Amino acid sequence: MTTGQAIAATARLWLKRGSSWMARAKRDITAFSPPMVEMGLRELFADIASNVEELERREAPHSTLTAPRSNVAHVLSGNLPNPGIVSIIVGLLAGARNVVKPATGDPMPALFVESLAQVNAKLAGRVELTDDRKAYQRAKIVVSYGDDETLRTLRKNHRRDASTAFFGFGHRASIGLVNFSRFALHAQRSTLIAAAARDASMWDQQGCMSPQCFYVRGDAAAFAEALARDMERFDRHWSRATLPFEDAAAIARARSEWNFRGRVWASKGSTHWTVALDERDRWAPSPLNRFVFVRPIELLTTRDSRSDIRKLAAGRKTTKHEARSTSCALPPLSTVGFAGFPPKEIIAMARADRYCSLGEMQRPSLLLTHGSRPRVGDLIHES
Amino acid sequence: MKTARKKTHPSISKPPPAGELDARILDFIARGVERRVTDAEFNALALAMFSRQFALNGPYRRYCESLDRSPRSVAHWTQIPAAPTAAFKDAELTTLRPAERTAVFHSSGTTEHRPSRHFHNAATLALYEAALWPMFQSRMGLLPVPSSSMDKRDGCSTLVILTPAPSEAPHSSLVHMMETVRRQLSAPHSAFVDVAVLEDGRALAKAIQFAIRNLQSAILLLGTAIAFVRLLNAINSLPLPSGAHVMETGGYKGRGREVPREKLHAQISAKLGVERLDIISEYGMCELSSQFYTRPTVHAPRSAVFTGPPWTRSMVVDPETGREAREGGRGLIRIFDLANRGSVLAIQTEDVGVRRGDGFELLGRAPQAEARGCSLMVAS
Repeated sequence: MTTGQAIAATARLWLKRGSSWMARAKRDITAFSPPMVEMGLRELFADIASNVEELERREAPHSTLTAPRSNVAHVLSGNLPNPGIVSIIVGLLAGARNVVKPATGDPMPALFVESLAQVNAKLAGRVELTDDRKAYQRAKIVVSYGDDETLRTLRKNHRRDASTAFFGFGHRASIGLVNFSRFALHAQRSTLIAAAARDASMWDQQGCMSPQCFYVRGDAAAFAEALARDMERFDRHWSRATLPFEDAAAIARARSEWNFRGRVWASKGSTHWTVALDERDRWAPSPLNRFVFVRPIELLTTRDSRSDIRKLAAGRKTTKHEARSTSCALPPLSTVGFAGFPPKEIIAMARADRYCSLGEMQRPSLLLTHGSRPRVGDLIHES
Repeated sequence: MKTARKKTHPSISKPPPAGELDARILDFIARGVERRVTDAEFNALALAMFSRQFALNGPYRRYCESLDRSPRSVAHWTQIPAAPTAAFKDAELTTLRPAERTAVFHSSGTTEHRPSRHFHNAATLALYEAALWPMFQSRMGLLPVPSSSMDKRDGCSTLVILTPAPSEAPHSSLVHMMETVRRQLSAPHSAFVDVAVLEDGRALAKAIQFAIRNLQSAILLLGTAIAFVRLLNAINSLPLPSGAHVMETGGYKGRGREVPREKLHAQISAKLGVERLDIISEYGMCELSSQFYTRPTVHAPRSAVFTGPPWTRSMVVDPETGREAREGGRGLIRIFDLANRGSVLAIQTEDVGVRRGDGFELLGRAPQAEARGCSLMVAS
């Protein structure tokens, strides 16, 4: 049995009807509602079951279960389970011994390794879960997920010499680009809106592939209103998690602000979902947890003049217009989901690591080679 | 689903004139800060003022319409839509025509490109000044004596203000408040320390030492939290004459080290020799016209509960449900201030508090949600 085959078999354990692993995940993962956990993990493990052997063939054709090559440390963030599981899988395919530091309170890495041990104890033995900082600082390769500050610190501490390598996965945002005017039929529009609502609601918008804004060509207000209806529908089936006070306060603040600056459609008596129509600014960060902006696409395609940007960079006193421009700069993008636009036009409008159809933004394939996970080849090469 | 729908309301009845509203507010103020305004009295004036603000404040009216609220649908002051403080940055939230505006207060902060703007004319500024004095006087334990005699009385207060002078900060509502207090007490302009020393704790200490030399009367020391932190960091001990009162206010605006309020007051007490009962905190902002104060008592000398004058109300709103938090519950602070006649009487702040009776305990600014990451940023 190859590593890929063992991992595929493990994924199938999770997908079995009445899987005890899935039941434990639904019980132990508290950052999301149980229905959201089940839906998200089903999609993750279905993808793994389908593609891990192909990934092994493409990126690690000579991987074996003997003689681990090197230590790879994985410092995981707990925002959602997928990146951590995929990171461990990539490390195993690279034939490495993996030292994993899960995020505080995240049970998923331990559950996955335990399920892997049921299929292949030797392979599972190549994963050590630890909070011991020294254990992962000794690793030759570090793969880390988290905020910019964490990455900077880890990178600084880890760069001992040229033989060490660091792969950091930090802040990114995602957007959707929708040519709403191309979808004239009711059925077409329904499918499109359902796809957008799914992208904006899945995993409570916690991942970097979650769209924070849809830029719309055509009637942006009609799109926003329809999106709100479908986000409400999604929430009825896969409800959002109960939020800590700070996150709920951030949504309340943002709703209040955007009620003033634009138009807001929102769940009543809760912060479960929010759609804010903004027809003024190119960008503002979402407080997440199913808070999505809708903007006319013209706001994205209008560029700031270079002189304005130079003035701002030089620290000169800004005019009202300049101040607005600064607040509108797009952040680095992870994923652009699109509908109704030709790919060439999409790439001209927004540069990102990944482009996909609307509705697929939160379903990155394991075979995706750039941006969201370390490449097996990189880990083999570095070790 | 709560929807946003822009509506054109049928024209509402003519709003009450400003002069009539001002007279009613001034009547509340004249009753003093210890006499309660009944809910019915507060409600009647709040609804009248909402009617005027809805009619004359365009951006606010559009906001209310987006929430499906108007004077026709609002029956109680708690239903009046609260404008977020951030809206004062975006829009001119005022009932005053441009030609009428004689003063504007800006929010402070070093990193803000767009400060909040609260416009005033002579009448609303007079309301502002009338509203601030009785609360200040009451909470600082000052005797209600005519201001003209204050500087002539034996044992009257000597004022030291650790903020810039009005000429240095003409758009600061806090400085305007301090200046109003200075005028009420007939204190000299030199009550304001020189702006150059505000950044330097040692220089602040020297300025205070200079002010209290040969002092026979009590001292009122007023300043921002950051000024007190700088002062306290620079001194081991600077005992103030007995009877001193201290008022600290404001956040740190991203400058300097944050010191929890309790610790700051303990240090003030220890290093300046001021009784805890005589140290109070003030809560105000440029978007408001009235202030809230803590009120230490013998039984609760460290009370951190802010309460306002009778012409205000505060609510602590649970951000998840939008409803008022239960007693002891956390939420976002919402203020209803009848002295805010020229702008919006209901203000949704970005501050988090705990509901304590008809006041609140201030916890600080609500944090922004952090971005989440899982996409390749750095490889080395």
